[in-house]
Amino acid sequence: MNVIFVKWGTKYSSDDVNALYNNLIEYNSEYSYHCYTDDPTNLNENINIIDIPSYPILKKWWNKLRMFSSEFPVRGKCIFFDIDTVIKNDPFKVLDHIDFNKLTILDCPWKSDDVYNRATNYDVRIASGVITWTAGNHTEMWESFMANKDYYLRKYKGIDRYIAHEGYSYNTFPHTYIQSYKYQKEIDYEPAIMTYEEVDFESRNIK
Amino acid sequence: MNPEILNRCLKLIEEVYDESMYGENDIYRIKDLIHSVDKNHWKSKQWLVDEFYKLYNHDNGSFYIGGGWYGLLSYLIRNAWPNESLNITSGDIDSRCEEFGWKLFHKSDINFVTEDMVSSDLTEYSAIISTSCEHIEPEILEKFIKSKRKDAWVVLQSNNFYELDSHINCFPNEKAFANWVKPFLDEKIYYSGTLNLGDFDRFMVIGK
Repeated sequence: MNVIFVKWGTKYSSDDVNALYNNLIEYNSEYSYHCYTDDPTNLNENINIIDIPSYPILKKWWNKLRMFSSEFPVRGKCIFFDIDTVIKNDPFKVLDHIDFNKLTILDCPWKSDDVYNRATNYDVRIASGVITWTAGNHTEMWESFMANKDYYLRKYKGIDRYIAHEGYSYNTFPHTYIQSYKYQKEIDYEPAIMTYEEVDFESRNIK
Repeated sequence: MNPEILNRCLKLIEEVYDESMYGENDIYRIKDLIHSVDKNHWKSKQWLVDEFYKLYNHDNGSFYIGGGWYGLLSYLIRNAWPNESLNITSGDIDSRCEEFGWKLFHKSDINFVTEDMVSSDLTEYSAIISTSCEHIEPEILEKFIKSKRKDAWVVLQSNNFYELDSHINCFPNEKAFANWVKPFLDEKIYYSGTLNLGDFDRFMVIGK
């Protein structure tokens, strides 16, 4: 199993990656951990570094899409975590029930407002904070993106919207896998992870 | 804006909406179309035409516009060079730009093509032009400039509007942009300038 992080720019530091890595190895230290990054300085030496190439230039979360390139140097089953993910319980237990032939992504049941369904909004009820797939599958997501990259960068605010609105199929993790820090203050289950979407990561004492 | 162009733009917006009901659902094209003819684009492209017209000093030749979008720049160039002996080709990798370009500017004798700006032979052109440099990877832009004929003009615009995800090749100022372009030229820079557009500046370099 490959566990992948993507760190681009200065919003997240190597310390943030290392903290997440340290949380994850408590549950499984046998997996291969990788960080796809433009700056590997001070990353834990047990994390395999995959350099972000100079071409194409992508900003922020758009770099996550390159994990689906056929040239991405990882083979086999993969699980990706956003760096601002906090591990609450074993996040790998769920993998026994995942179909790795398909893309699996987070569902966001708290996005219940009708506004998410408006065609003009290009919004989504999913999030790419955690993704599972098999490397080499879904390469069409990257290839189609690259064929008209600039238009997609203008059209969509992020890869979640690109995936959903360009018609790529996906499964979702069980609702009990995740808790949203911002939208789910009280829940009656034990989530594996907590996500911090649209919350300023640096302002939270969550490390 | 020319009322005829405005009218064609509105008809095209209606087409995109109708298509979204029964065919390809891509209503973002409406916003994209509107952006392509907004005041700032009109102003910055007219600036290019005005400055380049002074330097080019010919009625004939052939211009290639790389990343030409829906064709506003080609239309403004045609207005300045109405003579048929000046050929204008507008290339864009997005196939809908060719389709919409024809619909918007079909009276302007513009050759719209769907292609990567560095995929065709650029040596046949007397000027290569791109106002989309902020969207283009440096290595592609370098290849574009180096692909021109030695005596051909190159006219480029970029900006310092870093905030957008699609803006991957901005420059802090005119000097930095000119310094980046200069080593790839056969002769020299004949013009460089800055146009303030409120929230950001647009920079232009014209050279050979």
